[in-house]
Amino acid sequence: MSEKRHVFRAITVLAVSVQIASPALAASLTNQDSEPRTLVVTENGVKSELVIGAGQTVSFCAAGCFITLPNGDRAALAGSESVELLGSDAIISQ
Amino acid sequence: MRVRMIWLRTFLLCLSLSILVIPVQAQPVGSGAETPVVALTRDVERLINDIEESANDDARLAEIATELTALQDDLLAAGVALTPRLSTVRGRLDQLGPAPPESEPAEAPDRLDERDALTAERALINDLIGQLEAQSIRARNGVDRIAERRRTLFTDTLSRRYDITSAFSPQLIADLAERSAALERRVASWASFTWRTKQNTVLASVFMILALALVAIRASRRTIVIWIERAEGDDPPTYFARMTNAFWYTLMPTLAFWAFLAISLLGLDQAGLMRPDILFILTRLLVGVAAVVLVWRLSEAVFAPSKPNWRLIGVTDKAARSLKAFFVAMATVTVIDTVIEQVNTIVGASLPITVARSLITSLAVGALLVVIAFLRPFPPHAGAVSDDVAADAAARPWPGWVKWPLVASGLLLIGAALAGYIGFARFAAQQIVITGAILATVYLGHRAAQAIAQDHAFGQSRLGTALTRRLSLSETSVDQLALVLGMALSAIVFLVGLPVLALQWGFRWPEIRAFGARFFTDIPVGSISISLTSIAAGVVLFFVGYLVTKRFQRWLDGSVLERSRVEPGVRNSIRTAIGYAGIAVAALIGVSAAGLDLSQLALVAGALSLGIGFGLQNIVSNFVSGLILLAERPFKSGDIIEAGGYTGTVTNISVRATEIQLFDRKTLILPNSELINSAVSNWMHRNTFGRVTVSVGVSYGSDPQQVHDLLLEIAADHPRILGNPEPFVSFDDFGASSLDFTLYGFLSDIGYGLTVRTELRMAIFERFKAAGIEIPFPQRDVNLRMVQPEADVPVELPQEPFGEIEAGEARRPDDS
Repeated sequence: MSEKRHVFRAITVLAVSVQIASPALAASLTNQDSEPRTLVVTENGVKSELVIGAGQTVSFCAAGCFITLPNGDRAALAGSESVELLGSDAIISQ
Repeated sequence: MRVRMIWLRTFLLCLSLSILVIPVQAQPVGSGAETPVVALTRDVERLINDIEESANDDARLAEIATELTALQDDLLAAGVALTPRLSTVRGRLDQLGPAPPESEPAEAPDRLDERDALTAERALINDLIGQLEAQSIRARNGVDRIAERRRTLFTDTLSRRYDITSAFSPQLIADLAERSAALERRVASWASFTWRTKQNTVLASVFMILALALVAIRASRRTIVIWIERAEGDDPPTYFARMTNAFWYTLMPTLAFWAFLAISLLGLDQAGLMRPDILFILTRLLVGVAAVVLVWRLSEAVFAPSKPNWRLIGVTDKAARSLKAFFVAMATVTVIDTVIEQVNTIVGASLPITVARSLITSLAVGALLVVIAFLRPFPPHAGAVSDDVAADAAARPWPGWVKWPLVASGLLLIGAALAGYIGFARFAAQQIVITGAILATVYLGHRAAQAIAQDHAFGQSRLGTALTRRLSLSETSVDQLALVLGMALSAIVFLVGLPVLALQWGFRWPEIRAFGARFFTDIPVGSISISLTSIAAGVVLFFVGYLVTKRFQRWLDGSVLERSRVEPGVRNSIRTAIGYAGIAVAALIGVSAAGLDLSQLALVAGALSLGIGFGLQNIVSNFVSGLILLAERPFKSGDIIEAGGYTGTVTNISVRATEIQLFDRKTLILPNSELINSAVSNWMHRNTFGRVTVSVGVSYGSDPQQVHDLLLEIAADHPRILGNPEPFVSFDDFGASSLDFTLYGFLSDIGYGLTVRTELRMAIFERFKAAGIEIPFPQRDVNLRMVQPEADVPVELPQEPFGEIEAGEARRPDDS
């Protein structure tokens, strides 16, 4: 019995530790390009600019947002997508 | 949104499906797509305009803010619905490539058309999303403006100073007379109109309400009163019994009364007897009455002035009466104040009435607080005084941390009201009363939870005994259940109480909801975040998986393996292996449902492997050994083995250690690595066939052949000794005192070895005795040689005796 309890405890500890190690549950943005890009992000009605360096990945837009891509296209994110910038274009996947 | 995603994922995992990505519908976006955007824009427009119109109406402003916040979600959802199509359009446009320059030959017309259509669609979608974004920003600005406006309104209310002397002018009397006349007129006109036009309905309704009241009273006499009866007597019931009684004592009559009011009101309204203004006034009035009834029942339940043995808080009889009266008075004052305020909105507001009403409320609440603070509620220490009069005088006051804050808040209310800060005083009075009521309820709930969790309290309650009987639970499991129930109740009390308190203190529901959602799904710790719901879902799934495994194990073992006549050891191995595999799978499912990437788990495992290599070496070694034991099965459950210097029956092979029951009923837990790394002798490997040996010595006077034959005969006569292989006897040695023989016999089940050896020895003793064959003692011939008899020096013995040595006489067998 106590062995099982140990197993449970170990699993819980492991789960928590891995959970802590995992990134926040939000949209992720990756710049695959070789130069920094700027996105306009409107989150909760507040407009701001997000500059992302070459090759960087950031997580943003936790509760959904509107974005304007470098090529002028707009998009609305629910908050769980991943966005990859390729040149001025972008791939948005669920 | 995200919570829903987690549950979706959980659900999918629950079905043991790999994560299915549901393809997003990317229908072409035509001109019809504008309609929802236009509708949303219109909604935002309307609400923004409403802000200006309701600039002085705090309640309406709060509503608008809530609606705007909800609209922001809708705007975003509309945008999210449009987005996938944009990706599709862009992809197709990329495939088509840019329009060729003039110099090149023209494209096919349908290709040209498609490009044009797609370009137009792309522009349209971008435009729509842009509009949505703009509206979202507008809505946000509106919410900000509302917050600013409400703050100003609130500060104005609190900081505005009224001239209280002018409030008590003839104007007040005139206003009062006028307003009550207006109210009277409204009620009278409604009453006479209804009476004239719907006489029968009125009569029927009155009859119905009276009948309902009668039924309610009768029913409550029959059931509720018995259920919540408080027996007289000096012995106080257990705390848990008092607590649950207080709960039902408050809840059942109150709910019954509320239900009666609600049904009556609804009935009157449905019968078409209500006019909107009368319904409004009546509703407010009845809600007020319901609130006062609740406070009255609650304070009766807690203080029980006439039944000291049921009192929840140990105050004196006198204090209980006073406290109950004061609390009910405070609630009544607050309720009357609110009802008059509501009625004033119908018959027209009047500044003198508002000032007078607020002043009276604040002064009354302040005075009641001060009076309560100076009560001496607690009985004197036991044995301090004898008679009742002295006891009243010696009663102990509130502790300082209760008394002085009460005095301070009471004086603050009185002071603020007298200084003319009526708005502030009334606001503070209401906050104090309502917050106090909520805190008291939360405290009682918490105490109830503690009472449930107490040892044996729940088991002795009606529900507890019923559960014990129905589910045939043991006392311990009822106690554990009570502990869980208590903790759950505590959690519910705080989860409900804290948001209600926050609402009372001016937080808005969306804020609380957002905070709650963030708290449960996303607790940021630095740059990382923890999701409580995911972890909870993971844990729940793990336990579900664990239970399913247990069930499967039991089914397989009981229904399949047993009927297939699989031997018990193999069954045990299969069961154990399935158990561990199930737990591993459940853990994996749980871990993924907790929102963890298994690749990250691999990362962690990689990082831990060094630690495992050093720190967990023994455990891993035992674990692997356990797996080998289960697979190779050098012994199985039920075998008698010798290992690590012990001999016993194997009872259970688990993955880390093996349990061996020694013959003295001790349980030996031997780490599996010992069983793998060192020699183990198994008496029952493959079969239980075994050999027993019994050694015996006979005197030199016996006939060896006779002994040999006799021993074989004894072996042949024993029912458990096999005839094939034959038993045999060896003549081992000419021993020091005896001729040594050994009898060897074979058994089909070595488990009887000890019994058989005993029975053989018994038989040998009896048969040898009957045949006159002697089993000798060890014997020794001692020859004494006298070397120099004349040099014999007498030994000087010490004066005191230091012990005696009794020399036994050597008895030669021949002497007898």
